[in-house]
Amino acid sequence: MNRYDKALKEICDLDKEASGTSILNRLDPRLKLFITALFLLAIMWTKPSSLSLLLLLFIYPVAIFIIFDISVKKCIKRLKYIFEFVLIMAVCNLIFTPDKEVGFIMMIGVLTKGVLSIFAVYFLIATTKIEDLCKALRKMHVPNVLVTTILLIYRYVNVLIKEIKRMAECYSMNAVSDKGISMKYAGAFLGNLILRSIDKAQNVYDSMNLRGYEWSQYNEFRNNKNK
Amino acid sequence: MSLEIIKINDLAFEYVKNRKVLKDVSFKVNKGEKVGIIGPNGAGKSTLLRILTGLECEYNGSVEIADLIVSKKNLKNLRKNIGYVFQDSDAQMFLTTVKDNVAFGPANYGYTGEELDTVVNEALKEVGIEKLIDSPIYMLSGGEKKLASIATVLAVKPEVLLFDEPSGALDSKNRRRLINVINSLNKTLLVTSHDLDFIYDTCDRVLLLGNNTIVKDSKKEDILTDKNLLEEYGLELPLSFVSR
Amino acid sequence: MHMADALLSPAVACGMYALSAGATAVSINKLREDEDILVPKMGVLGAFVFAAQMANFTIPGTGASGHICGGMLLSAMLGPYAGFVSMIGILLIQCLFFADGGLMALGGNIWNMAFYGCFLGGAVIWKLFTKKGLTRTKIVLASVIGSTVSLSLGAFSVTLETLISKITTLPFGVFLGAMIPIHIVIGVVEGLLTAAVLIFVYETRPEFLWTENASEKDAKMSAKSVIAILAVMTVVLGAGVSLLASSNPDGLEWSVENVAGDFLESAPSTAPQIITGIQEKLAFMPDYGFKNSDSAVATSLSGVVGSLIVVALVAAGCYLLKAVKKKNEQV
Repeated sequence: MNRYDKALKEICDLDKEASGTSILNRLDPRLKLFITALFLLAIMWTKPSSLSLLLLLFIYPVAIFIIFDISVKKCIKRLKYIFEFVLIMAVCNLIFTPDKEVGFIMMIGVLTKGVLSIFAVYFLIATTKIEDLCKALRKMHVPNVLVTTILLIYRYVNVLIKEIKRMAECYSMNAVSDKGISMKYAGAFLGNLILRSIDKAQNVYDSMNLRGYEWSQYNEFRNNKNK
Repeated sequence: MSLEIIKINDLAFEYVKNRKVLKDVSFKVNKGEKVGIIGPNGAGKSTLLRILTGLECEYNGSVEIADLIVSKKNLKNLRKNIGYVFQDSDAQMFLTTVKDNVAFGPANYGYTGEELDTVVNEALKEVGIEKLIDSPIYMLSGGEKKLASIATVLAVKPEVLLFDEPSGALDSKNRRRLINVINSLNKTLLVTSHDLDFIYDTCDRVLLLGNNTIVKDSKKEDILTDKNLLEEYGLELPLSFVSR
Repeated sequence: MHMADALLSPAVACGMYALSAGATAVSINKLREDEDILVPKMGVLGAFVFAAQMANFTIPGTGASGHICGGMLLSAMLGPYAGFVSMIGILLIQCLFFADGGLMALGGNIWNMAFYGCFLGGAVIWKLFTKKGLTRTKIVLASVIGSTVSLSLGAFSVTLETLISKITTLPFGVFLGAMIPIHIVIGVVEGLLTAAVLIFVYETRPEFLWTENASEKDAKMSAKSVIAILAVMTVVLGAGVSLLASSNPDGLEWSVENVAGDFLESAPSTAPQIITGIQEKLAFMPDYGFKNSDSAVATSLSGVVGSLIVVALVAAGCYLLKAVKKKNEQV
């Protein structure tokens, strides 16, 4: 499986997980957003130096991860690059703070805060489908253009990865070396990718509209049926 | 509702000013009729389908589907009656699993819960891929993808179905399967294709487009066996007639 | 350049949310008319930038990461308003589905990565260069200057926001010194890449590029609203800084700081006191707390052990709960 297929599979897995049927999946996304925001605020309000308090906050993610069987391993694997970022940030605190003892506490504090907030957000990621989230955003009166754009971006990532895969494969068939795409052709490659994707995306959007997704009348449709 | 489900009169269309893609196009299609639309590349076949779906509303002349004029205003009701199967199946399947994609349309029209599940299952049954309901899209083969994309359209229960080049890139077994599926559908059909054998197997009537207008509108036997006429418009006799 | 929640204080996070919300409202208002045509393009170009941002370089020394922002490209193809809205979409998805950039820090991230690129890079610089028609040279100049300026400003904002939040102890100079040069480099690279893409689009489908004559009225308004938003930003940031500067830690906090060292800065709010109060009540280890300990590490250690025990207890409780639930289900 090459990296493009891997990326497609990853998105698919994430979607599948999020469309489970546990209580947490069915909970109103607005409530989940609110709880997560509240928890994040609590993290932010706690100073990095009050480590004990920070550790106490772990109660929430630990409880949720255990009760609802969210895999910590998967979370760490998936968000590896963010954990790395937090780690580097934390180590920098140690390096650049003149007082090493203080630096050490700051390092641990920032690290804990980082890990806590990642866990908190992952809870949202693992249990909420993008469609549900967008519905929630609509109910929260977030403007329709924005919600539709979010939905489309998420959907078009698939279209784009497939197109990149196709083009990269064609390129490598014709290129002498396989060191990736040379800078000389980057503009044409990316430009082509954009133009082709725009056409494809237009098709996807048309196909959505043909099956009743009139994004500006979306709510109206629902409401009429519900009445 | 009258027997004539599609009524087109003096249709003309241009994407760029003064470069007509379609002109003087008039025809009618009765309910339940199966019509093939053939013609060389660039004859305006796809454009004609796009106009029928309301994707291009800025045309001259009149286009009516099920007594509704195709216009921006009527799109909502119009699209319940018309299903469009894209040439590129990927365009139609942007969600994760087969089920999600098939459910997308009916969900937009307000189906939920069990009702939605029933509609999805029925649609999949009609094309014979119930077993694939939970498969992720990226794992489907080309043939399965085509059938699934037809199911996504059937789930909305349209009266008229439009197929844009449905048999492209299918192997002969899947092509045969597709023909059987299409023939089992009890709907009004419009099929565009360069695969004239496919048209012969699925349609009763054929419209030949050439020079941006309808050159001939007749029973399939009249057009598909007329070697001179087909060659004049850059087409060839269907293979099944060549050997005779 | 995505900021994490852990690096911001609530006050700064809220301030940035307010600023970004203002800019969003202006943009969405401007979009009303031709949103129908723009939406699919916004989606696909958003997805494009989203994918491009996945390529991430880590900047040694600060832990901040650098990648192209894409605001310049989006504005050049969609116009600044639609570009800005798609950037928000990208950042929201990254935050909510990939945990990249915090949920609370989203306001700041929108400002740092989307605002400068779209409104400064797009509405001012791109407009300035392309006002009298497009040429290859103009596209290159506008892209490189626009990207470099907007990325540097973004990096500067990140530094400023982090410092106002007073959460890290990194010295200002070190932080800024690491952030700015690397982002100038990234800016030039992004500018060249953007230019290469835009030139290709210009030569094949020029109608896909946004120019002033395409929406003359809007462009005129944009400069005005940019100035307005910049003015608001100055006021808010200025007020924020002075507020923080004058806030004296009081009571309990002050004593805590005396013991633990004056490196501990606090957000100007009463919430920490409340939480600290709860923390003290929750404590069940006798010498828990900051007061009697002589070193900061020792201070925290007792609390740490206490907290770990509490978390372990809760975890055990949860497992128990689950086990009971399972048993019940089996019966």
